[in-house]
Amino acid sequence: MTASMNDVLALADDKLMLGHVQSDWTGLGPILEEDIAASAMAQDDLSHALVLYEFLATSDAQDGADELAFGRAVADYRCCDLMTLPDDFDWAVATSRRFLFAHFAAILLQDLRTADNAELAERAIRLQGEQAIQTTHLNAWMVRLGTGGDDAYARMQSALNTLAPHAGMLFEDIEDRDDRFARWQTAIAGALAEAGLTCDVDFPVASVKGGRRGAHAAHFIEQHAEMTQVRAAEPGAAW
Amino acid sequence: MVSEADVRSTLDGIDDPELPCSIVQLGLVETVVIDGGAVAIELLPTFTGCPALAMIEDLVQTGVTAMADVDACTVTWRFQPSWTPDRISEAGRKRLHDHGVTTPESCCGGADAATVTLTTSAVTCPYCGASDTRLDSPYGPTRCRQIHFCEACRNQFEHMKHVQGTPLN
Repeated sequence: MTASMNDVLALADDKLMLGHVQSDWTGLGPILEEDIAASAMAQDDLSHALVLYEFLATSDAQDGADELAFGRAVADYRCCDLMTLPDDFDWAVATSRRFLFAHFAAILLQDLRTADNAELAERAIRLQGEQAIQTTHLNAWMVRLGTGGDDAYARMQSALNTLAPHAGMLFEDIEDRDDRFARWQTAIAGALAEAGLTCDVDFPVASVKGGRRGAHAAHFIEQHAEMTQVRAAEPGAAW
Repeated sequence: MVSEADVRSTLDGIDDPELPCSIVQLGLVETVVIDGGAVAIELLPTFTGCPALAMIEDLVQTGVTAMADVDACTVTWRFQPSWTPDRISEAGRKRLHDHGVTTPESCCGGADAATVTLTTSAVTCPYCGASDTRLDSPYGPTRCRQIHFCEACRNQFEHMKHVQGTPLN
């Protein structure tokens, strides 16, 4: 398979942004184990972004991974703005967003495993194993919260209702998006059915431009500004 | 000239910064290639998000460069073959167990990585030996460990994590 470098960049940008946003939960998770898990998944996502940026930086003779992550103009990021949608520290929204995205990432990584480019395929195989731990863990939590009593159920369904209008945009400008959208719906259907939850996501409309084509929401721009603050203040600073 | 065995012996003296186990015992060392005074070492990360990778790289650089007849040492991280707990040696397993960290018996490498099963039945408590244990969370204090709980002695303990679609047990 000839992998789309645009897809690789989209996935890396998604993981970079979600990794940053999710890090806000460190120390604030509802129980200790989930506090650790949320931070660990954020750490995973940032490292996955790095592994993909490093590949892009060497294969496209681009600037280094840091330059790709922090040095681009806002319109050059290809992430879906579902990543930076504020969760207002609502655990139901945070968990549901992770769940919806984790399955999307798993499908892309699954496909990249057979990329013609051996270096990319090797990285995807490694990352997919780690991604599968996320999807398994998040499936379990969707079910646990969806079946955890009336209050938990209501919060989870409300979270999914909030996220559903944005989730289709994960597939904006992605290769084979009809096929991948269908596979993603199948992937999330199992846990949702077991949880008694619904999430009706529409396929993206081509005329609506979103993050994958550089038309970012205000919350992305805000997050990006915060994320690149140190770099802006001290260009070329080394850690 | 320095030999591969000498280099591996030096590497066996370097413990993982987060575990009482050497990087050789953990199975992180994939290849050691010697070309005159130049040593090239390929390592496998347990998990890509392990924050200790840079430190391990530094420890290896420093340790190997200090050896007699070594002029230069390069360290590269490889993604394939993927590290799995199968790579942990018997000595490594013993050291981890003594520290309260259990390891999976064996791994069925090559299984489809799309799904993982979080099973717990086969994990024996490192403190009391009971098998009445359960998985608390697949995310533990480091990227390579998950948290289990022993119903018999009421202790929490850690277990090395499977990746690559193999059972997490």
